[in-house]
Amino acid sequence: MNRSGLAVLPRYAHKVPAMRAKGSTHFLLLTCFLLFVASRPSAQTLPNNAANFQFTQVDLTLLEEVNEFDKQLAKKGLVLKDPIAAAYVQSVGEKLLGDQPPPERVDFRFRVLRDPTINAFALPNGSIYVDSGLIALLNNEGELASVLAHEITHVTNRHTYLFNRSNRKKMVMIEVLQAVAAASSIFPAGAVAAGVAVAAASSIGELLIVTTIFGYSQDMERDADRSGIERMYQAGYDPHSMPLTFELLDERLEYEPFEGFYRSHPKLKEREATTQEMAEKLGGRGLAKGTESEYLDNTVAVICTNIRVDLDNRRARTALARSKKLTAWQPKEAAYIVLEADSYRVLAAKTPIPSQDEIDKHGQAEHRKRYFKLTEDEEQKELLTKDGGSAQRSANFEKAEKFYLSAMEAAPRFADPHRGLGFLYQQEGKNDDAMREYRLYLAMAPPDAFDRLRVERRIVALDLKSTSATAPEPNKP
Amino acid sequence: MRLTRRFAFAMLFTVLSSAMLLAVTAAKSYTNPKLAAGEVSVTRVCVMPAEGELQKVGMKGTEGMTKESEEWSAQLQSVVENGLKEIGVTITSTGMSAADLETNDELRQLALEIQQKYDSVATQMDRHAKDVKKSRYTLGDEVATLPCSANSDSLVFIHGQGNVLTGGKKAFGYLVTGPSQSTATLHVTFVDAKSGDVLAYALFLNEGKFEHDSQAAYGKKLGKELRKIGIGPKAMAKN
Repeated sequence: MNRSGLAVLPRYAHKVPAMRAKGSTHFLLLTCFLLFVASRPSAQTLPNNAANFQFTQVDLTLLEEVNEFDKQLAKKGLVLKDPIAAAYVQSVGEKLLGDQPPPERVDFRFRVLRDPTINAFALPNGSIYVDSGLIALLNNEGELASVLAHEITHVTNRHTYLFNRSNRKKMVMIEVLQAVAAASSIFPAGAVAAGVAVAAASSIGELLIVTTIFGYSQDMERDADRSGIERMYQAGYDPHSMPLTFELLDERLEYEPFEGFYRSHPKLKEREATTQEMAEKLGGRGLAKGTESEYLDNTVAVICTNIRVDLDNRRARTALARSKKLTAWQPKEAAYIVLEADSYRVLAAKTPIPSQDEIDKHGQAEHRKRYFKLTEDEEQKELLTKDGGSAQRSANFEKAEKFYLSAMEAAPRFADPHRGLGFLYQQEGKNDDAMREYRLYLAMAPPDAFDRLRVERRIVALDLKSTSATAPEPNKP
Repeated sequence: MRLTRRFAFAMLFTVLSSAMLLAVTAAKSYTNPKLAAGEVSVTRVCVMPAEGELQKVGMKGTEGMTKESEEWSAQLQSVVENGLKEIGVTITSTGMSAADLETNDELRQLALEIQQKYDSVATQMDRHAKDVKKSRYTLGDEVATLPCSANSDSLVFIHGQGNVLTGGKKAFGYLVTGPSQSTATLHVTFVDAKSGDVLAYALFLNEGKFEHDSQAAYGKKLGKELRKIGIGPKAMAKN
């Protein structure tokens, strides 16, 4: 479940083309629209239960592929191994499954994936993955249960198989349209308009396909929302957690590389309203949803990992929001304070929260351009040239320093704040202070600390710099 | 006359058919001025686990080829390592193979971090590869967190992406757009093991058969390109 409700496999997410309308004439748009409408199935084509589903060779091939994909995720180290979080997510999933036997060829397993995006997805073999980014966003067990219940429905109602079958049919249609376009170009006098229109359709073929896929998903998502909320209620969770989860999914701190129009606010708001209505009908206000503290107890290791992944992936705003949640929960825990300080340091000239200009359509397009055009360093340099960029950087650095110092106070023998402060001072050009902090870090860090070499190299480089700066010029006393 | 025309057609058909059956590889590379000027050398490298993604493109859409991708990744890894060894480069990545990382989760997470960092930089680099010549790209000194960076002067990232066309798709292609072939791109990037700066970036475009015998598809071109970039002790001696 992501903002669109479309479960996108993380490694392939960047391949989903951005949803931008191309073509300027009404005719082209009309043709695209007609193709889109013609290829959309009605919601009634969804099966009501798994019992009606019959496996075909196409499904079995997909199942084989999915089993292999499952293995690959584990093999590549993308499945997080923290035992507490893994057991917790599995137990919530099992609670939702109850005593019901799984459908044919399904073995339910619930896992956490090392991925900063806010997403979860289900494979038809019963593997359900929740991204660490989504785990970090949620606030209690009820919200986690609503995500898992939604994904369980995708499996039990065989959505992936149905999606695959219809997608294959549509691909054939697009291929035939391409053929028509080619043929029409041979006979320009007879079929210029048709040729141009179809050529336009095929040049945005992927868009068309994705659009229809998003269309299918909408029906399936509704189905998953409806069955999911009922499953939650039956498992003893407060169904009101589901609309609250949708509210959380609306968080827009970062530019997301794949933006679809089904993810736009009205759709999400619509789902929020629908599930709210369904929850009201079901009742269950007093049912379990768990406290934030219990949730964080079980998931804190995943959240910390995710903050570090966020920081490495130009998502410092998200990292800051999540680390703030941790410091609000345990204000004296030095490790969390350091994460907050790191977030401010990495933010540098960026504001902690996006401005309204950044959130609106034009701002998102600008952000997208910057994301693909500029490296992280270049983006920072550009921000510094803008009004208030330099002041923002100073303010963020000031906060970072404050938090590093308070982490040192909370745990005087903890090495990490010294490393972070060293990085900060070096960024500010205070090389002597940086060297001092690096040395303190090396003195406190365990001998096999993974970034010992990195810090040692920085000291050598700074030493060289200061020596060359203080050395007398040749031929001068 | 009739015979000659027939002969010409037969010849044309043979030439075209063989061109379609053979794998054709083109290469392009970009070098950081630091490497070109000999300020840094690449003689000891840590090769990161190769990432190869193959997709089957058929009339009914694309399908993953997970198993084949894994085999292709292993092939690409060995082609690049062999190419490097041939020009006298020492491979220092013992314990960094995909199989090794499976048994060492801590190291695997570190490798993943660096790989993700690379992927993030590759977003711009793939679009403006020529900016490697302007020293524009860096992964930062985080690369030093990998144990193999201590005894290496460069890290090597290998990324391959291929679309394997099914028979039906190829046949359809002939009818619609002319000859269609399976295509693949292979990126080999050398990154300074100390500073994290991208030192060289080589891109190989391949049309034809590549997924079964990567050595035949890339071997020669790779060796040639590595020498051109200035990798290895001999290149260093020249500088």
